[in-house]
This record gives sequence, C-alpha cells and structure tokens, in this order.
Amino acid sequence: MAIQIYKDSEIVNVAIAEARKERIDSAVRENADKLIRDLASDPNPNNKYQIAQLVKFAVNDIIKRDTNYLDVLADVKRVGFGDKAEFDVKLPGIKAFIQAKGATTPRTKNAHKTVSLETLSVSARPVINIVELQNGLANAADVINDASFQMECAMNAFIENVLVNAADDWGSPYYGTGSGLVKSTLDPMVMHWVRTGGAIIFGDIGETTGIAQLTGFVANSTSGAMQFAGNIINEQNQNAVIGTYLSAQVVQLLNPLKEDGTDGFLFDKKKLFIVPTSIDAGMRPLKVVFEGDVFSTEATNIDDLSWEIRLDQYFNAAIAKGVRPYLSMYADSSVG
Amino acid sequence: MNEKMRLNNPKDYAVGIITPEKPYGVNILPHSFTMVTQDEIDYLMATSTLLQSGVLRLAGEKQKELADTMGIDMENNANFMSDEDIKKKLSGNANQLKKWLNSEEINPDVMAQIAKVAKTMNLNMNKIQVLQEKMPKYNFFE
Repeated sequence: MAIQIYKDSEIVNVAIAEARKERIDSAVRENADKLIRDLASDPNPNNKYQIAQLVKFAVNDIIKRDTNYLDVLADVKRVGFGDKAEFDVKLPGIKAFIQAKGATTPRTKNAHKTVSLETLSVSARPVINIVELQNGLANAADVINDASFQMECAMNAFIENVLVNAADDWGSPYYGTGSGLVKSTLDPMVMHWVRTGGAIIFGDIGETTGIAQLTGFVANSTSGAMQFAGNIINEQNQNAVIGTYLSAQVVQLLNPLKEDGTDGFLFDKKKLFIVPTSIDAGMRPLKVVFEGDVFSTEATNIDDLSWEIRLDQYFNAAIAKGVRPYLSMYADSSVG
Repeated sequence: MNEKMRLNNPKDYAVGIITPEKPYGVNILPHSFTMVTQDEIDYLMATSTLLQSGVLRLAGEKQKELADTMGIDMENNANFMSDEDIKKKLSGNANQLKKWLNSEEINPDVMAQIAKVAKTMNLNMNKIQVLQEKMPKYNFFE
C-alpha cells in the first residue's frame, strides 16, 4: 500500500524533533528512519513526492515556530496563496478641543491609509543523493534542519535590513547614535516607549550585553566609582545579558555566521532596536506578510541522478509609518 | 595646554560620546554641542566613526583643520554639505551627479537631506533616474 504523509502524521513530528535535536525514543526514531529508507528504496514518483511532503511539512512547522517572535515586534498577517495582505496605517485622526461653551468644534475624522504588500519568495533547493538516502548515509532530518535554518536566516536578515534601512534617517527619539552605548543617549529613547506602557530592547549580544554596564550608580561621590547590584553581575555572567533595563525587556538576537565564506555575521552587530509593547499590533511600523505555507517541488536530475527538493515560502516585510514610527533604533558608531 | 573646543551635533538625532574624560558618556542633543579637548577628539577619531562621517563637527576653522587631518575634502563630501551645497551638486549634469554620489559613503540621514533638496528642484529625468538608483528608498517620480 502506498504511504501517504500528511501535515499531522507522526513521522512529521519525529522528523521535526530529530531536526531540532530533541530527545526521541530510539524505537520511534528507528521506525521513522526505516519509513524514509523504505520510501527511498523504491524511488517511484509517489514515494519521492511523499519524502518531499515530509520535508515541506517539517520545514513549514519549524519556520512558523521560529518566526513566532515577529508577532511581538511586527504587524504580521498570514494570508492564503494568491491573497493580498492589506495593512491599515493610522494617520492623525480625531482630536478633542477645550473651547468656550457654544463655540464651533472643528471637524476631525478617524483617518488611515491602506498599504498592500506584494510578496517575495524565500527559497532553498537542497539536493539529496537518493542512494545515500536509501542506505542511511543522507539524513532527512539534516536536510530539514539546514533548509529551515537557512530560510529563517534569509528571512530574518531581510527583515532586519528593512528595519535598519527605514530607521537610519529618523530623528530623536526614534534614532540615536554614540561612540559606544551611551546611557544618557539610550535612556531617553527607552524611556520614550516605556512611558507608553512597556518596551522590548533587542539586538546582537555585542550591544545587549553592554546594557549591564549602564545599570551602575555613582553612590560614593568621593571616589566617583560606579557601583553595580550583585544580581546584575550574576545575571550578566550567567546569561551575558540582563533580563530587564529601565523596565524594558532585553532580548538577545541570535546572530548566525554568514554562509559566504567570511567571518561576518548575518545581523548588524552594532544596532539595538527598541519596540513598544503596549500599542495595538496594527500600529507597529514593521509589516510582515506570509502568503500560504512552505510549498515544495521535487525533481530528479537526469544528468547525475541527484534528487532535489525546492522549498518556497512567500513573504515580505516593509515599514509603514503613520503618525510616528513606533520604533527606535540605536546605532553604535564605535569601531571594532 | 589642553584647550577646550566646541563639538557640534548638527543632526536631528541625539549623539552620545564616551571619552576617558567623560567615562560615563555625554549626550549631545540634536542641534546642540558639548565642549571637548584635543585629546578627546583624537580619542573619538580612534574609537568611533562619528567625526569621519560628519555626524559630529567642530566649530569653525577647527573643523577644516580636522577634515584636513582626516584627509576629507569637505567641499565635495556630501556628509559635510549644507542644503545650498547639495543644490549646487544637483545642478550639475547626470554623469557628474552619479560620480559625486558614488565618490563617498553617504550617511543615511544625508541621503534623506539630498532627497529632500532634490524634491524641491525641477530635475530632468536623467538625474532623477540617477537619484532613484542610488536611493531606492525614496520615490523621486511622485
């Protein structure tokens, strides 16, 4: 009987767990590996399609989970294939006036503009040798892990680029810079958003770790030496980042190495973003759209008999600024 | 003698500096200034890009001396130009404009300044295309 793999099949969950290096019962793992080997040992079009389906479902699930953080930072819309996402951007609207009794109140109306985003594709095309998959030398979990990681990295780098490109010509308090992390420059930017109800500070560890040094107080005016709370020092040593600063949550962005042969990192190491948490999701300037789920196409290359799966996720990100950006960026201008 | 001089922040955003003399940092508010010594200027030049990129500038003749030290041609470097200077550059032909825009790394806020000035001028299509290519973030065709 032909094997059919569905989105909620047990093997998809096992493949996801295996790709994420989670603990799996060895018997369950063995059964899953055997199923893939069985499919690969008879590489008819249906079996190859089923393996591609497995990779697609697993990659889709991992990407969805790992890009969940965007729901906190951005206005995220997930639409079906062929649908267009429309974002409402609030403009200066209804105003109230204090005036003399009986005076004419100026008319104002609730205003917004609608922004539509066309999607792009983030795509990966892993090649697998079908013979290696049959004899267990190639592992589907590795393909799932690498493909989802690379697709996530490409998406995250694109989103960060959108953020940096938009914010780098704003004025205070939405943009600030300094020769290092300067408390008196960063604090007003953080306080600007904390004042509205709360904020998240996120960035590369090089910047987030420096925040601990801003927490000191000069208690002894004679020596002028900075004093730090013991728990901050412990937290810094244990996690390299403190959990909160001026009541804003500090989040370290994982920064993978670029796959271009250089020692460069994917995200800008010198930027900190401050995002308010208390505003309505629709007011967030970063708009992200996902069109459909990850989809796969597979083909066998007749020249070298290699088998490839093309994975695509349609998405896009943009900044739409209404009344104000509702986001701040601190750029560290120190060298090194 | 380590004479103090005025370090201006001509930008619309705040800029912080940390020097051995200001270990806890000083915030220079937009369009404001702070007083620094030559040692601090040397330190900032060695540890940050704030002076080289024109984000912070010394007042008067001192800035010219500093630019000479850094090998910066302030007459042609967009990062050090006023709206009037930018207008003059935008008045040249498309090839000159392209050469100028590609000659230096232009700060993003200066790009915004150039875009703002360009939109007030009646530029020909060739120049608009050059600007659009260099600054895709701004719409010069509207």
